Amino acid sequence: MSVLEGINSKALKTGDLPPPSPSPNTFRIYSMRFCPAAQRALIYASVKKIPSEVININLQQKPDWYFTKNYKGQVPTLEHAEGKKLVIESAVIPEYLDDIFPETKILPSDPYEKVQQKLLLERLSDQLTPAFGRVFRAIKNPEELKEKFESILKAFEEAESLLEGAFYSGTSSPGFVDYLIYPSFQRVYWLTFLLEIFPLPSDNFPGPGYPKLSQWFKAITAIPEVAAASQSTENGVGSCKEYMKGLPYFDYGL
Amino acid sequence: MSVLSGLNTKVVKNGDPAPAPPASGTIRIYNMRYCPWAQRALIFASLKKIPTEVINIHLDQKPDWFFTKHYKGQVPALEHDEGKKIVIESAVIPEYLDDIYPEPRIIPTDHYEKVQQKLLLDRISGQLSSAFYGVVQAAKISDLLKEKLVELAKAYDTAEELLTGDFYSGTSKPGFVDYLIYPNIQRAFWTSHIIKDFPLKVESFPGPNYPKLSKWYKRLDSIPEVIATSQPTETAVEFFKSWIIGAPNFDYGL
Repeated sequence: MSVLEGINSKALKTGDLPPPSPSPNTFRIYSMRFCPAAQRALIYASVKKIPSEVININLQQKPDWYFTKNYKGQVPTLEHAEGKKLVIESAVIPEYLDDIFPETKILPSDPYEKVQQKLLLERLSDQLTPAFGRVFRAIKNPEELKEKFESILKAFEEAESLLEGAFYSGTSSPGFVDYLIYPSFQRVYWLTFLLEIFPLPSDNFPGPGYPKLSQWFKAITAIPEVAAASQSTENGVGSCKEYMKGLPYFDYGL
Repeated sequence: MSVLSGLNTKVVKNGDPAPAPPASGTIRIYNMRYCPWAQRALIFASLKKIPTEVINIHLDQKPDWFFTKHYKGQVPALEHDEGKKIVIESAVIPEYLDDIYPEPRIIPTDHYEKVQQKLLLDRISGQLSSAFYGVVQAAKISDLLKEKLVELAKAYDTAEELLTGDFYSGTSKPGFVDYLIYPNIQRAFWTSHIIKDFPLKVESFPGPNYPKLSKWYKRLDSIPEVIATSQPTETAVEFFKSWIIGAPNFDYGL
């Protein structure tokens, strides 16, 4: 049973009324169903079994009140303590959740191991996120696409070499880096269904060129708490197609 | 007596041999004397009175071995435990130092207050540094400069607005944000001596448009442990002149 309530509720937009403050002991996450950054917070809440209320935001027609939750108007935002506490930033919220719910701590306690996990996440994200963004933005212009693929492949080569064992946690079970970098890989996986010329295969993604990553992706995808925080491939791919047509996609599949 | 040895040593460059691992009980910080990001690590080490060996790196002719300390070849990098532990990133190193040398602790222990300090630093630092480097890059292209100076003034408007008390720590003493944002603001002070029509004034920097920030800057500027990490204005201004024209003299003043 998923702890994430409202993950597939319709996105709130300009003109919609602000929700009432979260009730005591309720954690609220402002999200967008297909946003990889927001999914990090959802995965962490899910894995840590924190009962959470999800409110989706239309990122093209943001409600004015949403800027009182996040001054940048971005997702994710965590709201709790009856609305008195707000935390933003997709790599900061998980660390905060580990601090206030230490029994289900995911980050290592050792200061050096902890800091290395945070630096590793930053290193992987710094390559994957812009590489994906470049491809995604070029998706309507096929002639530009092929040159953008190179940065994706380079990012995957680096990701493969940095994966020394089964997981980026350096242990036998997934950790902070694995959970938080997974959404970025999933988005590239969706691209493999969208673009026939995409250089990575859908089957056993990301394919024989990345043997460790292929096993890793399969293992993380199979985790129920991660699946509960994710959108299906069908809806993910469908939302990308709507985006390619310039159509609103936030409520795709609802 | 400063705990920082080697702060004003000449830069190490390509072809210079790798140093021996730091001695037990000593941390090493790879630095460049005028780098605001590296100064963050120095300030924290100074305040916490950690015996520290400083090695300065030539940032245009980096030694090959330096990339084993920091994969991007940037400063700061922290090396300790006789070279077995290396930590990078200017906002991560101070947090790590607070974890492994907890007295005196600078970051709040309350989880929410701690996370708010980190988010506040990200917000102010992101705005101030991008506006500042925009000005520096435009300094040679005069038609862009006026627009960049307007952006700089706006960034400082926000910094003034976000300073709700004496310090960004929200307490009667400087804290994490104050110490880590100070170097960026000092760099703007140095630059106010160089660029005509600079919106921040040299006298009582940053001037009458920023009354709270002016008091704040004066206070931070007089803390001995901060001064121990800083370069004097006279030499710094000359370095910045060399840097702005694209021929940085990293050993200026030595």
